[in-house]
Amino acid sequence: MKSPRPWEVTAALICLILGLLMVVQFRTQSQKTRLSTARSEVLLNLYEETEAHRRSLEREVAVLRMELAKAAEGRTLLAGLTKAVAEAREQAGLTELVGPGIIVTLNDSEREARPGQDQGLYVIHDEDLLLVINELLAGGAEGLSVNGQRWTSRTEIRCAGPTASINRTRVGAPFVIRAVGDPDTLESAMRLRGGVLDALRTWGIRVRIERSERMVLPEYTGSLEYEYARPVDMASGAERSE
Amino acid sequence: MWLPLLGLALGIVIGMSSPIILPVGYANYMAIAILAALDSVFGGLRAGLEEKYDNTVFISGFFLNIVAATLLTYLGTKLGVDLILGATVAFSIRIFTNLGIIRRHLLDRWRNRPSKGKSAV
Repeated sequence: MKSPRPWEVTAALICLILGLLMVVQFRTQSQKTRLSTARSEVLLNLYEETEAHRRSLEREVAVLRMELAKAAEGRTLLAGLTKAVAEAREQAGLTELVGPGIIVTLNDSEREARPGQDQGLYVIHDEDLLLVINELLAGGAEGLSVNGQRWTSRTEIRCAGPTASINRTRVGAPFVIRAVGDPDTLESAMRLRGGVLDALRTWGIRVRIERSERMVLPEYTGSLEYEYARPVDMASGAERSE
Repeated sequence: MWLPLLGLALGIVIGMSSPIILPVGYANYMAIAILAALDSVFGGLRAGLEEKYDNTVFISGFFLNIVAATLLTYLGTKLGVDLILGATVAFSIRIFTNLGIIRRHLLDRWRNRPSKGKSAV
């Protein structure tokens, strides 16, 4: 084996550098490719994640739309219920009423009872009030009040000594009965010949009738709660009796 | 001829065992530098076969080509022109030309080799 010539040594050195450079470049290049591959994988993952997120959001939108529709439905339902409740309260006498009607004022008789006669005949009794109220209701009164006590389905009128008990409240003469309705009809119902007014006047009870174009009936302030009564279940009708 | 090949192999081994990795942004410069180096090596090989080899010319050519090619590429990126393509084409043409000449020289040598008597190839 001959000893290497000087140019061969230099060339070997140069080739060494060349080989080194090439390998480094190869590795860099493969790294670059791997990087770009990795990048596309990352992007793919991101895309899939985003797509899944989008799908879940879509489902959420569908659910929310349904809920919105339900809520809108519920709102109309609620509006109807609110109206029904308001009407029911009105009919139950839980609200003030305003309207035209007549005011009937009853006062005790000024006549003295004749000897042997009961003075009680000349004062107003609970029956008298009930007769008047009954007549007014028959005449189409839509709302009634006696001395500021609203007439409701639970209102009692009974004798309580020298006074009357209405809505568990004691009221005395004069009795002012306000009836909302058609004033003409109500007044003629009062003045009916041989009617309630004639009967009262027999005993000297002072009756005054005024017409009013606008009056206000107070609301019922007592309790309307049922302790024993239960509404019949319309669906089953189980507790219905003859 | 075996020493340069040994050098090349050694360079590859060193490169493989070293953890050197260039930043991706410099890959282009490295590529054109390698091309320039290859051109120099083939040029040197041709010169050696033509008995015109000059060590100084070879070494200066090798490093100067690498630096010039890299600078040219850099200038190209700054100017917005792909000068790297021009350098690539120029070096490739020269490499192929040198390769062709080297091939011819080697063939000539092989044909005009002194006969070794018994060898009947």
